[in-house]
Amino acid sequence: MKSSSPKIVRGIVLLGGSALLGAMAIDVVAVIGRHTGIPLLGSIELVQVLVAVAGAMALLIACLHDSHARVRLLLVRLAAAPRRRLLRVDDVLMAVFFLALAGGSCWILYELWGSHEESELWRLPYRPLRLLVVLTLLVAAGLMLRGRADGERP
Amino acid sequence: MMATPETGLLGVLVLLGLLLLGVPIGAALGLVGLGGLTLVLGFEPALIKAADLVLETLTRYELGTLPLFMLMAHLCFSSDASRDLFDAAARCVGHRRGGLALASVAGCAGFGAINGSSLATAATIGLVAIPEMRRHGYSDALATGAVAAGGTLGQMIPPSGALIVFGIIAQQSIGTLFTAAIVPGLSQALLYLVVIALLVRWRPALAPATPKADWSARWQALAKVADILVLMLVVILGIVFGLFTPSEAASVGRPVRC
Repeated sequence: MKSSSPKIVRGIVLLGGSALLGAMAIDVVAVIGRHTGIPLLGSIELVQVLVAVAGAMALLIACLHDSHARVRLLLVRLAAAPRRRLLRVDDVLMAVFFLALAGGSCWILYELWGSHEESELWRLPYRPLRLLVVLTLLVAAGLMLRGRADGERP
Repeated sequence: MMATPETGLLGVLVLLGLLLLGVPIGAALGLVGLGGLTLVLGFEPALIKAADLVLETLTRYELGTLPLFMLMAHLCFSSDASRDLFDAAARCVGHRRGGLALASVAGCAGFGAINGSSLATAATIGLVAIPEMRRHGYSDALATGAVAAGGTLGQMIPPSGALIVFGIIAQQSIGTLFTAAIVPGLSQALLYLVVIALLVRWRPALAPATPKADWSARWQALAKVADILVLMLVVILGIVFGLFTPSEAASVGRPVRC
């Protein structure tokens, strides 16, 4: 992939890493609370939100670093030019997949915009999460369509 | 259109084709799934169902288990836990013929208990163990074989990434799967040790004897891995006795290591 601003990459890593550490901290507090009689009610809801943020950031990092798992059986046996072309086709297919998911997510977001969808205990609104998903998928599709600086990665 | 065996077969063939062309595995599976849903349900329901799955999957509590265990393993790796584990095992059994190969398997079993991946286990222990075995004149076949075989323990001994993913897909209790994997994991490690011991007895040239470490050196090495051993016990026993869920175990493991 073409090089991205290190600040943006660092920001994504920080956000995802912080979310993961936050999820870890909540789980620890929940375990301690459960065994000391002060349970943290709704800890799963909080962890779910943080895991979603961490997962979304992980998807972006995987796209930025071109580290999606793929079968390289054919790719490594091709000459540079056809390999570059094939990788381009792969990127476009990946982008199509992300765009399809983003389209569907937009559809659901539009349908549920006024429904005040929220979690049961903490009343965490789902709308920002759905927005995050749409944005992440659109950015991921954009990264895939942006092309790669070199075709030699495999 | 109805779902028929032919549509399923077509989906499998398209999937294999996409995988062979190097399409990222997640996208290949997703595209085929989306295509199949479109054939069976129609475009609009397929798109909405697929999109609904995105948020549902991203917010799955169980899915947090894997990155949390990976975080724990990475922090242990950063603090050189793999070297400490191998050193401790090497000082305890390294003087026996084939001892460093035995230590590699023991190190892999130990690192496997804080990390759920075979590749990561083989890579991290291999980085330390293979040069050490080569330095002591071990055959390359035995050195790499011991690490490669020992690495598979990472996938078997809890926490195991494969079991977490299987538990999520098959909707089975990850804690029960972890508990069920303890005995097979330990017996697998034991059998590897037996095979290495028999192999070096049969062909002593594979692994020359190495000097014996004194007891103070052994205790010193064991003291360095005491916190890792406590971490393993807390994680495994906590899950087995139901003190916490596998996701919580990964989170609790980190403060224990601190």
